[in-house]
Amino acid sequence: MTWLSLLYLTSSLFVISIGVLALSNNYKSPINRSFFIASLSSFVWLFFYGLMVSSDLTKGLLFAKIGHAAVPFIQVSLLHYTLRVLSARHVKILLSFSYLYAICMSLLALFTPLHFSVLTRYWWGLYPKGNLLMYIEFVICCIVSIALILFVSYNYFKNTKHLRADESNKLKYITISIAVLPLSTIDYLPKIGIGIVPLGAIFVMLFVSLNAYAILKHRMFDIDIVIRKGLIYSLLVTTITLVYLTFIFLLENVFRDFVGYKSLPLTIFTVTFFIVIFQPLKNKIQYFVDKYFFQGSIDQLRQENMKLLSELQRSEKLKAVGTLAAGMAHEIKNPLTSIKVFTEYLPKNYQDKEFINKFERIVGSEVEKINEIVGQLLDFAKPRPLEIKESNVLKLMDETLDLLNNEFIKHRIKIVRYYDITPSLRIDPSQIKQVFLNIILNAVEAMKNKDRMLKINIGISNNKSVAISIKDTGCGINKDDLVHIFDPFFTKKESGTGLGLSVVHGIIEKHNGSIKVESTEQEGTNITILLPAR
Amino acid sequence: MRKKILICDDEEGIRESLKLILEKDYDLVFAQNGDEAIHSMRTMPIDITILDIKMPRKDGLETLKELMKINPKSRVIIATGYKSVDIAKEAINIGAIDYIVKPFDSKTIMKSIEKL
Repeated sequence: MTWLSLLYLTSSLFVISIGVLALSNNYKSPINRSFFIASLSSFVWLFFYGLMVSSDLTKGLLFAKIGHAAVPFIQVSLLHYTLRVLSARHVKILLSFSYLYAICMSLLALFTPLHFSVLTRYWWGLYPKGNLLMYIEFVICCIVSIALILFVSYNYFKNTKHLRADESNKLKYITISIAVLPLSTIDYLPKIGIGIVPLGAIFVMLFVSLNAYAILKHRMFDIDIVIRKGLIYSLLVTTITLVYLTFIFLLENVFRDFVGYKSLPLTIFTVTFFIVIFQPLKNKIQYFVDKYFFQGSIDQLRQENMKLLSELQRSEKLKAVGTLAAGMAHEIKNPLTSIKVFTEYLPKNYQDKEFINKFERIVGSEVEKINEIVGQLLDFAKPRPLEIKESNVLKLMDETLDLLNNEFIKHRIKIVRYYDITPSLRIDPSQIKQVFLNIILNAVEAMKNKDRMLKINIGISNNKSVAISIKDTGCGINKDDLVHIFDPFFTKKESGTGLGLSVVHGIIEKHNGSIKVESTEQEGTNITILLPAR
Repeated sequence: MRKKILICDDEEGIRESLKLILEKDYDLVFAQNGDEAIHSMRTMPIDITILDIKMPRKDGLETLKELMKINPKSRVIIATGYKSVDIAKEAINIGAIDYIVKPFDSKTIMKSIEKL
């Protein structure tokens, strides 16, 4: 066994482990499935090439044929995967044609000498000597790789500004990995007569790692910890396997050179020995990693996830700020009008005492109003910790409705308020306003029908809590979705982050309150928040 | 005879600004909300109305509908900060004659009123 053979076999184990992990993470996802097909084809290629490199000529040719039959599938499944990741549309015909191409090429590689018919022995081992179809396949592979790089880069630069932080990161990983992948075509060079060492397996491993990270990272949170653990263990298994194969290789050589004895029983003994110690050794190392090494990693991951979560919460908040800013621009126009008109009349009336008094009063108060409006927006956008103080919920609701007046007018939504006298509550006014804002913005988006009405009901419930109910006449939520609406990242909106209601839930929980959602499709949704009265 | 203009806006600054522009040439009546404007329209002859869109409780478009019911020949100018064509279209469909975008100046207001 040669070092190149070991590299191929190790890479094949690595690639298939990650492919299986990605598939088990979400086997229903087309992205994960196409990634698995790419991993599986890469595994077949790497594994059989690994065997081929250090075989004799007859067996080597068979291994080379099987290994090479997988190569067109790698190319096509990667194209498939990339198009899925980028959510490219109208690609069914292209994909069907590509898979047909892969099947034909595969069959030709297996059963005809069109790709190669002999192997050449290089200093690193055996390798196929390409015929005409190998050259054609190489050219097609280069063209597809370049097209993919251009397509992915174009998508990245076009979309990255409009995407959420996590989406943009995902696209970044995939773009870099697609750019790395063509380097693996280096493996074609010895086939077309350039005697360079075929180290493409390294780039395939890099590609698979980057993509696995991108796919799995996208899901985040606890699953991420599980998957990261999985990645570490698969690397571990690969390393142990590598050590194991090296031992066999060395022992065989030692016995052959010194004892002159080519021993099948000795190999079987070595294999058995390693099989026996393999599992306990793996368990010991896993235990060690868990106890001493991985603890830090989990903390790091938690920190990283917290950072990402707060980044996403902030992006959700900034989205709301965008809506508010539009409304506030209108609010600013009123005081601006007064300032504009009074300033226009100032040169003519500066000696008129009555005018000057009015000027001072009106312009002064209008400037103060603008300052207050801008202050409100900044106050909302600023991240801050929980700050509990006595606050009036009715006032907070009115302030939120005022902030959103622009939206109500734009969407022709009628607001009906039923307010009972309620005690002031010990809450964080800024966060409770964010709760109202998120729920009402969802309601506004849900109301596309003709009779658009938002009913706000605030009163005492069971003498213990203040109940705030926000009822819309929107499209409603179906039963299946209803159980998930507070889950982070659950969204049915095209541009939603799926964090709005999750943030709402978190804030209400922090206030020891509760939240209930009732919804009927095509009739509307009623969200009731209960906050402890004392 | 001087024409009577009804100014309906919940913002004192806007009412005072319009007063500054118009008081020399017109008789002015002020309303702070839709209901006051409807009351004025019912109780006195009004030649022109300048109506804000965004007002608490009853908004400008609702008020406009009721004003048109009381006097279908009312000449109403809508004044608002929204540049939305939809709102302008809706106001014109209900019966408004013109549409002024805030922040306006004296010339814009005078031009719009003199057209009527």
